[in-house]
Amino acid sequence: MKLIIHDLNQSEADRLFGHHPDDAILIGKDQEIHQCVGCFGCWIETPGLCKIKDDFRDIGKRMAQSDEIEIISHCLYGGFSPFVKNVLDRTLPYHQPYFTIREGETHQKDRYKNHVNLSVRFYGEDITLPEKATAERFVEYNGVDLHAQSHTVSFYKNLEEMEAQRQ
Amino acid sequence: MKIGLINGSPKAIGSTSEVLLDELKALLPKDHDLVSIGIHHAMLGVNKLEDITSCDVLVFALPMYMGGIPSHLLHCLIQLEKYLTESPHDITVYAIVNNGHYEGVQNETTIAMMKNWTHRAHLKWGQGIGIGTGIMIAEAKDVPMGHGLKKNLAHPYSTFVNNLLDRESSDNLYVNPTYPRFALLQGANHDWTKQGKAHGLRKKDLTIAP
Repeated sequence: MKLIIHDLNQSEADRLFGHHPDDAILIGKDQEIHQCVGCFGCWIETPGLCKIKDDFRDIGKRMAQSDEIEIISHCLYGGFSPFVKNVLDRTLPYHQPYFTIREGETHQKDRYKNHVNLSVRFYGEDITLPEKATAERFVEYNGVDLHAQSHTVSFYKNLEEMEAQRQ
Repeated sequence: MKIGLINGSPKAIGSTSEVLLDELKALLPKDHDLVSIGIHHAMLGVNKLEDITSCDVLVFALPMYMGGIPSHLLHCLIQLEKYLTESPHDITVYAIVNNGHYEGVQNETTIAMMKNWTHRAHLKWGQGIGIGTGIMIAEAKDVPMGHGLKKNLAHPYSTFVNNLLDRESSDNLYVNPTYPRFALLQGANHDWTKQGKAHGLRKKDLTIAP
């Protein structure tokens, strides 16, 4: 299954994902989301499930059922837009609380056995070179942190350009 | 000089960012005007916007969330960027970023994002400091600076404060805990099990995959 996390409005999403495969699940701004407050309840009280009762309580489980995660986000300061970052912030239950060493650095152990392929598509008319450099390092970090099988990052000026290259 | 100490943690009370700002405050001379501002939600009121933009120096303290800035703070940075670019402001920006992992350098991308925001907001970037195992430093809040878990923090913090008071820009600093990684991670893993037990869960319950 493919999980697509995006920050597009409905008409943009319809245009871009009009013919998306049946096994793809879209996560967009139409879903209710609250911010992660760093309570660690998803580790020590309800392991694997966020304590916040909104549409993202089981985001870890949904990620575990995916073999591919595609993120489409406006590039903001070299990272994700607030909505997409909020979704990523809420993926803490995807991990165990216990530490391990990965790529020479401390990260959390895997709760699930899957290793997703992560692809990130940033868009924005005026992404600066330092922002691009930050975004590339950020996605690399996410790849290691999520223990992804692979990670790719690409940049587009606008959705038209993305649409043309995504097909 | 007016220095804004901004707590960018989503936790309103008891955050590591709060402790790290308190440690910084203790090192600042008393003749400066210090303003403490909490950004714990995704929207800034007019009073906070005015407080922040009236400072000469801003110090953001925040946790690294998944390699970047917590989402609620991104909302507020967008709001601030709009407000700040309406007219020129002579503000120098510093950032203290902590993470729950061992390596301070894991905060590098978050600090880079704060620097990128500074440029978008037409402000001057000062310096970032990335601190590993932030939560343990916070729990050792009564330990004097330069001792125990804070041994490795003293010198970088002193350099950071000197740069801040001179409004100088400098390379980012990264701080690892004093103790060896293996020992610290073993202790932290044991602590997670203990916290789970407090909620009636066994060690293997914490690893279930729903």
